[in-house]
Amino acid sequence: MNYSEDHIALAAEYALGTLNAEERALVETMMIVDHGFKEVVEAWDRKLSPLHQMVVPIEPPAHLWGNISAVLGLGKTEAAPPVEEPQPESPPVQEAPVAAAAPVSPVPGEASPGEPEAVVDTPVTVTSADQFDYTRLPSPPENVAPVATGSDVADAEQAARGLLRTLRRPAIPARPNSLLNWTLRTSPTPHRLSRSARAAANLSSDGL
Amino acid sequence: MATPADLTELIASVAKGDEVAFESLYEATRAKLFGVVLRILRRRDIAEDVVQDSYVKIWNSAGQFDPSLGSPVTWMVAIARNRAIDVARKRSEVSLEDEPAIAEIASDTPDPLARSQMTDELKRILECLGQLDPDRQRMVLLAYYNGWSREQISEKFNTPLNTVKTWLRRSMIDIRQCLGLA
Repeated sequence: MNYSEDHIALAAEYALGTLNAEERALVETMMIVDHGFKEVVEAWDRKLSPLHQMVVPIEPPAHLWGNISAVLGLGKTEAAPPVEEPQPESPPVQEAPVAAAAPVSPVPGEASPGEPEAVVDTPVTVTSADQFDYTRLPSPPENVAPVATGSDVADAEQAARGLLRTLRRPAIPARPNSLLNWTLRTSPTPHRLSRSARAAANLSSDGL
Repeated sequence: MATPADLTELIASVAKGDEVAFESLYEATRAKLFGVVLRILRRRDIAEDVVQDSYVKIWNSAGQFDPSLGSPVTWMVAIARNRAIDVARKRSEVSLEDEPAIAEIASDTPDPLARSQMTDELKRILECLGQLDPDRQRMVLLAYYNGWSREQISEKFNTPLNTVKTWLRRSMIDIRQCLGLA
């Protein structure tokens, strides 16, 4: 399927989320009438979506499930389709045990010597090592080959850290409307709670 | 612990109307979806609505999930995130930042993952992002994580809107080339 660069950029920006409401509506219409274009958009969704793995999970309020099941009218039908094998019981998300702390922490944003400190040190280290030990995150299933090792991993890690540092510590001094000021508009205290870290740990086996 | 395979099975059951499976799926994924959506919308009440709508859509379209194309959570996050962006854009006449914010959780930057936790897909997109100029990297990432529009990016970066448009377009084309997308 050949689409112009304009179309491809439009699809990409739809997936990225930067289009305005009118443009989004346009893309959604195009997706309905042109299946090929829909596939282009969905391919972009899938390519960008792994970025979600860097987002810390946050527990929604308990009543949300009630709302959802009420909207869908769940629990009203007598006989749900029989399930041959009962679902394996998975531990509730929030009860996932947190590994005992080990003092290893791939803390991001360690500035290289000589690099000027950011003007203000943001509360970047949102999880401290004593709250959340990344090294104890669940391992991938045994039968899955380990992810690639070697330079591609190192490259990816370097890229990730570089990106995060870029996000976290703008190198430029703050101007009145600058990103740095915006970024700093957060709580003055580190506020990543171990609870969300636990949730992160629990979901990580799906690459979260 | 729900693995991608577990979630894929759950979604297959949901597609057949299995409510128990749906609740398990919800329990395994709710915090991720809420985290993604809350970050973009920064208002708990609106984020709850969006997550609710997202699960309704997931219930209704579970049969369309194709595990050969991507992971279950990737599929679910894309649904929730698209919904959140739609809501954010429709509310754009009112600056979200002027509203009572829950900013301290949602305006943060994402946490890093240990490299062992990064999927190959994540590494690939990060590698491609890493080839962009630093400003453009930041632009793309902030757009993704915070749901910023071009107008908001223009404002935050003190950069003319047309420049932002050009940069975003160029960045996405470059990423596409790097990823080898058709």
